[in-house]
Amino acid sequence: MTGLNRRTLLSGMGALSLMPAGAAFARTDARLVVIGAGFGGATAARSLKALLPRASITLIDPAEAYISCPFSNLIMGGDRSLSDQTFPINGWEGRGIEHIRMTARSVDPIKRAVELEDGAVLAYDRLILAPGIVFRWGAIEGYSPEATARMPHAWKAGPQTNDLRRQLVDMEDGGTVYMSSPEAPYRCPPGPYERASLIAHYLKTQKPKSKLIILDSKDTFSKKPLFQEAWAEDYPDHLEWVSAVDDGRVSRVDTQAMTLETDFETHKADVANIIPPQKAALIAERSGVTDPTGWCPINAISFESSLQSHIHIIGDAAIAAPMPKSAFSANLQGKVCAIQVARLLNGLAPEPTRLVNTCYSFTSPEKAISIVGAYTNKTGQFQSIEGAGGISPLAAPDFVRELEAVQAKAWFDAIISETFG
Amino acid sequence: MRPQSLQSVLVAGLIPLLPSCSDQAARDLESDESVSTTAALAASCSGCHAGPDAAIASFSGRSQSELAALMLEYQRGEGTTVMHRLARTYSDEQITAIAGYLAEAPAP
Repeated sequence: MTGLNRRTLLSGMGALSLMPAGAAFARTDARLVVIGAGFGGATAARSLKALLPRASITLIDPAEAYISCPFSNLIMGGDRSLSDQTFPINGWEGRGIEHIRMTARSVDPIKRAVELEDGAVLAYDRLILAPGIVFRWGAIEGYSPEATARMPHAWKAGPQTNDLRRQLVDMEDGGTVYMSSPEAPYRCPPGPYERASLIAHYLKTQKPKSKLIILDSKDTFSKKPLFQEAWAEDYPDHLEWVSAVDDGRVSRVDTQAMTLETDFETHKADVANIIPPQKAALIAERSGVTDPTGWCPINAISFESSLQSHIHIIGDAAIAAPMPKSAFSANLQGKVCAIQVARLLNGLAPEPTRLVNTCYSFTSPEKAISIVGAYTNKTGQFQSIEGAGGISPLAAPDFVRELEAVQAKAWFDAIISETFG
Repeated sequence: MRPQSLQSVLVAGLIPLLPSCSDQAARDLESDESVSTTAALAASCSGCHAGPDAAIASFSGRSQSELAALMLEYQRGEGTTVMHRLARTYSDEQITAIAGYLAEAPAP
């Protein structure tokens, strides 16, 4: 074992130990099921085990490995590879957690049972759903799963991330890259603009006659003043942003012609990255916990569904605004939800608390910016705390941005260690 | 705050000998810091501070008063980092409680 690995391992244990030794006296016969082994679900399962060491805890996820979206935009310029983003989903039995490597087909909220893809049924006392997102195919006419071969979304890190990188590398200098950015809410609000920055950096340094154009379905976005400042300074000739009010909303794509259509224009792309509108993953719909928006309304104190009792929803699938759909939020929600589930199982009322979100975005491989959100949940809804949080300072010297890039990497190592380490 | 926690640990060790009783369990859990308001408040910290990279400082080995002083310095300072904006989330009382909680977290 190398020194680094040993340190990583020890730190990982340290992370877990922040969830202090659990209440071994707490109700022991509870059957707890977690669906989804991402930043939210994997953290929730570990936290439940720490708090309720003698409960029966089952984690359901079909994937062999989790591929992290955070930091995957650095693949665009070749600064990271997909293997740097890939973390095996294994070792759960060693943590005292049963891991079922299958898809959950449906949930019966009345019988409190999960049906697996092989027909087996798993009863639960409390279910934590952390299923993530799916795309709304057809919301942009012509954009289907088949269309992703020519126009990748790369909004779930994986093969499409490499496809998009490959298309950028194969593009001739002088080409035009288009990105379609969706209406809120969606996974990782500043993500499209971080990706655009890193693609623009690649073009500027490797293909200087080329350009990226963002066609946006919104007029504003996360960290906008900081991104726009960086773009004006670093990429004036390589990145252009078209807001919704300036006809940026993409309504149709044609993968044969490689065109994106807005209300009044047709844009011809050499490379097109379509980030489609999204909704909670299908298991949420099949559990009866989605509302007409396609997302899951919850009580913000307990994360319990507003529509079905004994089902808690965390992470991107939940309606937690103004808390964003981010890895940090999902990871924290996993920990706080586990505490509230432990309370409920022991006849205690869930308690309000304060939660935060932090999110770094790279504007180049060496420079990053950040946003912090601070939230109360005492009304049962999340509310931003006035006077707390905010974005990195504008007009800051380079060393401020470089320091945040270094801290971003440390954050990534920490959250990966806590969730998957 | 800490004596309660010690009591919880002692109670936890004894419980296998005791008959199951949900009221008793609820009372014990009420005094268990692992599911306290402070535990939920402090849950935010490990999302950044539990990693192997020293670019974000570890709080392991630091005392409650040292951690609280650092948090208050962030809260009142004019710096540029995430922590300067984040520390303003909490009241002084909450900072004291979080610092006490983190100071007692077992060392890695």
